[in-house]
Amino acid sequence: MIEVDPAIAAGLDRMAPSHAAASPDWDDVLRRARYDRHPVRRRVIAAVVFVVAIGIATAILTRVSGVTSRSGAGGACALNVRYRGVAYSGRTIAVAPEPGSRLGTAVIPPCDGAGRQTIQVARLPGVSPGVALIWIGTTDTLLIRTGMTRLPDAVTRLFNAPACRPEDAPVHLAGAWLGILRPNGRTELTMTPPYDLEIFAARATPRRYRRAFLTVRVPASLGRPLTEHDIHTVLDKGGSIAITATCRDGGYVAEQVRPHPPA
Amino acid sequence: MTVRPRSDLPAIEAAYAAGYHGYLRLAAAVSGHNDRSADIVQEAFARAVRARGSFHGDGPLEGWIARIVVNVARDEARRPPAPAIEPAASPAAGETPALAPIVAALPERQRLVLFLRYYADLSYTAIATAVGVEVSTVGPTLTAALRTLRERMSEVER
Repeated sequence: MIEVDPAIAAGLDRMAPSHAAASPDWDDVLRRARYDRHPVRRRVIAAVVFVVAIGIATAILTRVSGVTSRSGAGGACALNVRYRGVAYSGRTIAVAPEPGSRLGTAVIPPCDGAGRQTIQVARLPGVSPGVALIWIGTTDTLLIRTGMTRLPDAVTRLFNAPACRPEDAPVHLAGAWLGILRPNGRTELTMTPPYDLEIFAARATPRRYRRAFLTVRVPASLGRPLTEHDIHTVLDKGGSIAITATCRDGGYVAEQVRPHPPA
Repeated sequence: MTVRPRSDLPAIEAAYAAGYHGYLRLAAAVSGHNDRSADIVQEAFARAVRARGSFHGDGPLEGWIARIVVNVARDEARRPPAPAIEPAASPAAGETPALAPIVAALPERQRLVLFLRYYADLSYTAIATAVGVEVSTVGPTLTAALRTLRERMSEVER
């Protein structure tokens, strides 16, 4: 700790006293981190990080500096893809489109120690491959031609999740359970509503909500529909959740919540 | 080839174990909520665990974590204080004047650098990472903060 005037040190110590009695709890940190796994949305990031890690490990092991490119001083590799000589950038989407016909192989150039990676891409129905591509196997990222400023409606409608329409209620949603957070974005620990559930609605009635990433508020009036046990047996295991929701101000409010462990 | 600082789970856990009490004080100072500092630190490290893939070793890991602690603490500072269980400590007669209002009047960057150095005991390099400034500016910023505190405390004492 730095040496400062005793008077200043006394004042600083009074502002934020030493918590000598407090003890660290690493298990609690890990538990909080798990509650917002968001596995689907992070799949692409995880894949890129994995490739970067493999590349770095390979470079270290072989002690060879590979030919790499960095996207900037920050060192983060943006998701850049080349297909038939055209550059595309990854963009997060809130509604996963159904892939059209398979187009072939695209390339993620080397970046930050990671080697070249190939991926399979498909057509986005109704949109020219010169504008956007679907990365087969991912649901939360669309590849959009770099530099495009005007995008067709078939693309822009994927950027925002559909608002909940009162005339559609009750809305039935079922799909991967992605996370659980308090309304202020903090980690949910008590399992006592209100909190927000995140779901990828693989199935939905009406169909307009299908394949959307949605946030559903669980109100206090529902009691405790989920427990710590559900976190361990469903969320942690990649299980699904079924929600019946009504609409309030365009948002989703749960009326019933049923977790389902993976088969 | 430069070997980058590790950002894997054991490295974050080691930073947590080594700096826990310093981060608690940092969280309390930035948020103004002593009673919530433990929760802030837990939340910040949970976020660090989740986001560890985005740390690329552009500075010390401790600085990157401190930045997350500061961000969570700032969010917490916007929330209303919990009902006081015990009255806040106040200086007894003959003690030095309360420093809090003088510190609060410091420019944001000076205040943050002071907290990171005094409470979290971070190196200048880690502070630079946490605040997002050049390492060479940390020392002068800290010196300026301490000089201002000395001057204003002496004014209050007069």
